[in-house]
This record gives sequence, C-alpha cells and structure tokens, in this order.
Amino acid sequence: MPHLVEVNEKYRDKGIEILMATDVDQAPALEKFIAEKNLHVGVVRVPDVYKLVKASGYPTSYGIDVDGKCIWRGHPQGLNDNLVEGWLKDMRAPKLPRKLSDELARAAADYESQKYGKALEGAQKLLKHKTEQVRADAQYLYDIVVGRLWMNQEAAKIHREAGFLDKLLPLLEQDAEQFEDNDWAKDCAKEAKKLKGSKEYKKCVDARDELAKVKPELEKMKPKDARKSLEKIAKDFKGTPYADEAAKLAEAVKE
Amino acid sequence: MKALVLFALLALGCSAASAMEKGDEAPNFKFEHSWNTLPGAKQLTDYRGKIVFLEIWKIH
Repeated sequence: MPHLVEVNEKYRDKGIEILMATDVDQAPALEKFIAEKNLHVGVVRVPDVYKLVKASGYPTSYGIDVDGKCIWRGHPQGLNDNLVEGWLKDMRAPKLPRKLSDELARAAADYESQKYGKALEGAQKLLKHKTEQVRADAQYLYDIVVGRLWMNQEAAKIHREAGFLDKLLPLLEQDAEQFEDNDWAKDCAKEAKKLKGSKEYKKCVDARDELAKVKPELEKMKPKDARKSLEKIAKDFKGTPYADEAAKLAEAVKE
Repeated sequence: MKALVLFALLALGCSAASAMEKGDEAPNFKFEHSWNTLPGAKQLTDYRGKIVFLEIWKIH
C-alpha cells in the first residue's frame, strides 16, 4: 500500500485519484485500520463490490478514465509512474454525457476543450432562452461546470488550510487559465501571483525539496544522524506541513 | 485438498470471463462509507473528470 500513497501524493493534483473499495462490513474496524496505517488515500465501503465489478479474486485493480471507462486492469503492484504518466498524456476533459441543443454547441465545445470559464458564460446566456429544451440544456451544462468549479475550490481550500502552498499554486494557475473571464479565475490569478512572490511559498517548496532529498537516504544513515537531519528540517522550516512530517519521522526513528 | 484447489480455480475462471475489461463502462456504485474521498463524492460517477485507480481489497 505504501506505493499507492506515494502515487496519490504525486499525482492527485494532476487529476489522478486513488480509490480503495472494500466490502468489509465493519465500518469501525475499517476506520481504525485507516487511522493506524495513516492512510491518506480515498477509501470507500461498498457492499458486494466484488460482484459489482465482477472482480476475479483480489487484490484486483482497474484504471478508469475521465468518462468512466475501464482503461486498465491488473495487480495493484502494476501501478507505477510509467503507467500513470501514460494515462495523463491521454487525459482530456470528460465528454458531456448527452447531446445538447445546437444553440449550446459552442459552449459544449468550450467545455470539452477545458475552457470552463467560456463554457459557463455560454451556458449562462442561454438560461433564459425562449425554448424550453434549450433552457434545460443550458441549466444542465451550467450545473456541470459549476460543480467542477466547486470541486476545484474545495481542493484549493484543503491545500490552503493544510499549508501545502506548493500544491496550491499549480491548482490556482490552472483554474485561472481554465476559468478565464470568471470572477473565480481573477481571484485565483491574484492569489497565485501573490503566493508566487511570497516567503511562505518559497519556504514550503524548500522544505518539500529538502525532505525529498533526505528521505531516500534515511535507511542508509545511522539512526542518530537520520534523526538529526529530520530534526533540522523540522526546525528550519517550522510552520510548513513538511516540517511537521519531518518531526513525525524523527519521532519514529527514536522508537 | 486437490479438489478444493481445482474448485477454486474453476470458480476463478468462470468469474474472470465476465469481469470488467478494458473498454467496458465501470459499474456505478454508491459509497456506504467513505474516507479521504473527493469533497461531496457519494458514488463512483462523481469521479467523472478524474482518472481513477480503483483497487478492490480486503483487510488481511
């Protein structure tokens, strides 16, 4: 499972989500397990999930694309950077689940080329169209884009609150581009600009890089030295989530 | 014991024939409980727009 967590950390902001589904019926036991393993990946309890995906034994894993189609099946150990990079290369905006009225062709095309700001504007203009079908389709597209906007805002909020400024910046930059002309995009652009030039951002990036440099060396180091390097990161970059992680790791070395 | 293994293999073979394959639409399923999932996600289709690595697992 450690490699799942690693891939999750590395690719979550790029649009890859890990989802571990189980039919274990004891939710409290599952909760305990997640807490004990400090499992930071999506875990869901789904009764009869084996039957639903017709899984042939376990563990089995699947790659599912943006439209909900299976693009890979294999052993969880098969998950690696190469596989994920390949998926990312072909990643596109999800297709609209149904065909919309011709009046919305432009907005739908904007949506499918990830110009969400333009798609939103296009849909908004047709919300009061004289034809009922066009109004319904406009509302449908509008809701989809607003849903996306809401999810992105939530993701940004999570990173902001946890202090992962290094992860927040690319997210803001992407939203500023994709939601062009929308107020949210303007806010994102403003925040991104401010963040990029800030001391806090630099500190967070430096902490991340420093920890990434030290982490693979830890096993080769003497416990005393490993603890020392980690404690130094925790002290030098205090206030960043990476310093917290370093402190936790240092604590674990002591045991 | 041998019979048991054979039976297990047969059972595996049968279910493998109809398992989700590349190109198939993933079945939608609702989450009864969820941890660390996307904000607001209640079922698999709420992950549309993301590439999902789905692992079916059991606690050993």
